[in-house]
Amino acid sequence: MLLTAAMAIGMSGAAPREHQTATLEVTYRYEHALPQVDTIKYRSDEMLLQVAPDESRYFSIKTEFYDSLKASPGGSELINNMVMDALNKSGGIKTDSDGKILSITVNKDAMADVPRRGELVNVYKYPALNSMTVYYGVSGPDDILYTWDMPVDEIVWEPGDSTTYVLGYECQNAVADYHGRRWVAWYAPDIPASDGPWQLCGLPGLILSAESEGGEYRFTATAVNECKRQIKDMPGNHEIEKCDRKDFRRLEADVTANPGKGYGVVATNAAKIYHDLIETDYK
Amino acid sequence: MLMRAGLLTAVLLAIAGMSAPAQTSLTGLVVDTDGGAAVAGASARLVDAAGKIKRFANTKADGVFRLPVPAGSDSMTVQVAKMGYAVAEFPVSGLNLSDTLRVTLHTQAIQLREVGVRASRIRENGDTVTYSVGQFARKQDTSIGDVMNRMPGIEVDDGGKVKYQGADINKFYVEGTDLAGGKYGTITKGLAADNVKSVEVLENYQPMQVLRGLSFSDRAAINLRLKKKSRAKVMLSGSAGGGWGDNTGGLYGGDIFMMTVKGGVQNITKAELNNRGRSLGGMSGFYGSEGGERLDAYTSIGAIGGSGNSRFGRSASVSTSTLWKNSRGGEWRVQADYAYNHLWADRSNTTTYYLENGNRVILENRHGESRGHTGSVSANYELNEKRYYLANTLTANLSWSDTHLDITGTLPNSQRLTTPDHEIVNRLKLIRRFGERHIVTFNSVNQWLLRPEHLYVAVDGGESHADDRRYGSDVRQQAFFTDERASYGFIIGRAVVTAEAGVSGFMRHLDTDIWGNPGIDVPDASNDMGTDYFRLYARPKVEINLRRISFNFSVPVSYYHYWFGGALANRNEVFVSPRLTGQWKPDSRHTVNFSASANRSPAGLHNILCHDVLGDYRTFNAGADDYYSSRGQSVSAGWNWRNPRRGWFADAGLSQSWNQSRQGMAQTVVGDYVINSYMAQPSSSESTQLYFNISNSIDCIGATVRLRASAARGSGTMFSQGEKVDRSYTDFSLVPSLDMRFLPWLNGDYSFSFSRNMMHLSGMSRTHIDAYVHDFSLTATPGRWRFTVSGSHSRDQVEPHRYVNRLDLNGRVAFRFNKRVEFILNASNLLDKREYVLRSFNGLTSSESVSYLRGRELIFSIRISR
Repeated sequence: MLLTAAMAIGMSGAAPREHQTATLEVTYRYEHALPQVDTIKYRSDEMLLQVAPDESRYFSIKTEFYDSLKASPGGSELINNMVMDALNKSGGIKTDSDGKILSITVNKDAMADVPRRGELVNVYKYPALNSMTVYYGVSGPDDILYTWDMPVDEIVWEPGDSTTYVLGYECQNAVADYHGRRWVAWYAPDIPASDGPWQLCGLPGLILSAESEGGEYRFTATAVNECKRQIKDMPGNHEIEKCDRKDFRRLEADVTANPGKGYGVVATNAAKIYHDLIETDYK
Repeated sequence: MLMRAGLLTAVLLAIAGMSAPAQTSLTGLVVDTDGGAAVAGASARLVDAAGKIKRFANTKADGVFRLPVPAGSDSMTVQVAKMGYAVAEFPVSGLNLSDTLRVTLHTQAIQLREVGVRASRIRENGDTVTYSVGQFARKQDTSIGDVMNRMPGIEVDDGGKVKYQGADINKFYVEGTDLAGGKYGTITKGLAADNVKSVEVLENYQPMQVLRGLSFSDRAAINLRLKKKSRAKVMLSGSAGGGWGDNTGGLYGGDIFMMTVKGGVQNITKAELNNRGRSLGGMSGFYGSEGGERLDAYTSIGAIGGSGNSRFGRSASVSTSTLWKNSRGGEWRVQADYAYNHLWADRSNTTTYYLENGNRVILENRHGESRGHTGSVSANYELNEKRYYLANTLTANLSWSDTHLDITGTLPNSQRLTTPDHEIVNRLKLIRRFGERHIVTFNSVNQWLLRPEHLYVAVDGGESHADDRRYGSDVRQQAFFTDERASYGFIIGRAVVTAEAGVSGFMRHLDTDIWGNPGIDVPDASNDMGTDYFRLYARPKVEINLRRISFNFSVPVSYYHYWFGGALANRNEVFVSPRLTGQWKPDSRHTVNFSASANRSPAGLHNILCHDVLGDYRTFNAGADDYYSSRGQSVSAGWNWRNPRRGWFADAGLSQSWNQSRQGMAQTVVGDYVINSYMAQPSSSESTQLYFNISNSIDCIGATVRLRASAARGSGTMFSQGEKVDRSYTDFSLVPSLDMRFLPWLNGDYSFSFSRNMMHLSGMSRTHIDAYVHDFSLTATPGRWRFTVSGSHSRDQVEPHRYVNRLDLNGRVAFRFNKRVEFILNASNLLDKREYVLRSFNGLTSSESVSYLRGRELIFSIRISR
């Protein structure tokens, strides 16, 4: 019975817990270099950090909307209908005289307004408990989120002397080596929240901008607003699998080099990867 | 024994004290004022007098922090802060670091700035300054260049060329792509402002990825961010119109602009035509091209004169630029431009030559007319990667120009000058980085130049025509230039050491011939000579990039071997030209640039002539009879400061240069004729230039204010009638301007310009010319209508204590039919002014000219955009 209960918790949905009310919301533009292009060409997503007194949550706005819509009654059907409408309007679906589909061409402009997932990441931080819980997914047919816990104070920042302005806030810089990358962060002492995008935190001010050395990964705040909004669990019915952080990164590296693997398509040669993962200490 | 133990203990304690660490920790307990519960996640900071955080620590679940406090921190402050609480502060000098500091935090509502709600007009993030186009644009703006000219720190000239903080930009991107190459004026003057969301300035921009982090750049790049709707479509706009002018008759004009930036193929195309005397095309690249020679003309009858509304004629131009990106990240760009201009202007000139034995005055009434075709085609491939850079550009520039000048007055004559000017050039640049420390660069330039000139002069000898004369000049120059060089650079710590070496060759042939009877004896009227050189050179360079300061020191050394085809003896020359430049950035707001150089420059081969060449109907150029190099030294410093958050931009610069030559420029007047030559006389000159610009964007009233000031002075020697003449000059100018939105439906701009040019020649009294100009415009935009009144008032000095005033007034009424269509009625020169007077100094002469203007004109046009 205990094993069944444990499996049930592990297999469907995250463990429900009591969440705090966020008083601050920060929107970030997250940009990362496409791994298979040898110059730096960014893919970007819009991320949200909700900050409560002793808790915060970081996630993708696009993924949140998509998962919420899909989890609501009729949501999946609505998404499918929107996809078909967009393809039809752009002439992407070719049928024969009997209406049988002969080919489907995806037109990027036509699909622009169809909901789809962004980054598959959620980070819940609990500074009072010196703990953060991280959820990550990889692209593929299975809706699995991999999770692990880490201490919040693992990052050791070296304060710098430079200042700049981000969103009108005077920011000071700090540098840290974290999980294989060197990060430069600009934090605003005027916003005394020891938090920031993704897993970055621990500075005496909110991190408004952070970039890994070489520019392959960067976060830039685009808005900081007061709010009164309950932090929530991740929407949707994901399968949750506990694992080791480095094991996940190895899996992610494999999927990045062989994107079709999850769909049963194995390429003869793995793609050449020019830009490594956001954490590189898994090797 | 006890005493010894006590003494030993005391000594041990003293040693322990001496070796104790200089840093201690402050332990603190942070509690909430309500109930005294421990506060987790609060940050304790050690802050210096400038407000910078030097150390920090966070409280855990128990509310405890341990903050390192180094020795010498007495002037600092300990702050404890958390969201939702007021900040608690304690001066370190008042703390006992061995005690636990109990901090009680009091709740306080969060106070954030409204940055998420309303973005300011200008934002900065590190080295990027972003201007919001929507907040600077006005309804009367037709192109993005009009809006950019209103942004503080940015200037856009009439040709569309952009400067940031007083310096030319080094790249112009649209959505990260360099679509126009160096000819981005097509975009600044053609792209409608409502397609653009923001203008980003990328300061200290290094366009070649392979050099980033190694070679500092003091220039900025511009990147236009388009609105989402514009990225996805073909941007199209155009206008067509017709009208009538009082002294010009029927008028017409139109333009079309098209740009697409989506997908792997991107294109800009612009075409325009008019018959309002506005010359078109001839757009050269705004970025300086590395390497190459040029052939200067020997013959010049002067431009036809006039500008703006003192020119008449018709013009047409078309230019297109297409860019393809391949899967490797490389870019192909093909550009083609063509322009046709048929222009004419009328002017009266009074030119005074200042001579010791009495001034010589020449009166002329000029009618100038020119027809010209200019065409340019270029193909460019560029691959810009982190470890590899390749760029090859093949360009052909072809132009034909035919100018007529009819002169009545002191020396009535008619001149016709035909000047084709052709160039084909290929430039290759290859840079490769090996490992982390080695860079190899290869550059190659190959250039072919052709410049023939044909001058025909007809002088009217009076009623009997007995003294009619026909004469002229034929000149042909053809040259080939090649330059191949390679460099190897290696990185040692923060320094990059580069050794560059190369060879170049220049082969030029010159044929000149004066035919007919020019009116004075010309000893030998032809040249048939070659002037070639072979050059071997090396340029060692060291570039050091420290945290806040960068230096660049180079010592180019060149060896020349010249062949003069018998005109002069062949010779060898060695030149050394050390140069030091640097940049210092004390903080994120200030930048200081400085440079110093000394050089010995080769003589211009253009001036080496065996015999005279006819310059125009009464001017001969005798050239130099020997090889004269010159020496120069210069120092300069520039400063710029910006505070984009408050909308402030300022820059200033000072430069001083000296030049010494073994030759002096001489001017001899024989009757009505002038002979320019170079004499073997040491001569020297020096000049100082100073400028200061400051601008501010005042968000709350939607205004931009600017002040530009400049001063220049100099002195030198010239030769007139065989006698040495010392010449000095001083020029000032001051230009304040204001652009303001008075009400949501009413905006205007005003600028005032004052300039003074002073000249002094030895043995003569000092003379000066003042000019004052006021420019203004006022636009009201009630509903779909737009009413604009604009004009200028100028006051030019023509004699001491005598000024000429001129007022120009123009009007415009526009009606926006819908989002895409606008009707415009334009009226220019409402006061129907027909003349404009201008006075200027040039060397040992001054001239007063009266230009004849286009009269009142009315044009109706339709503008359509998509």
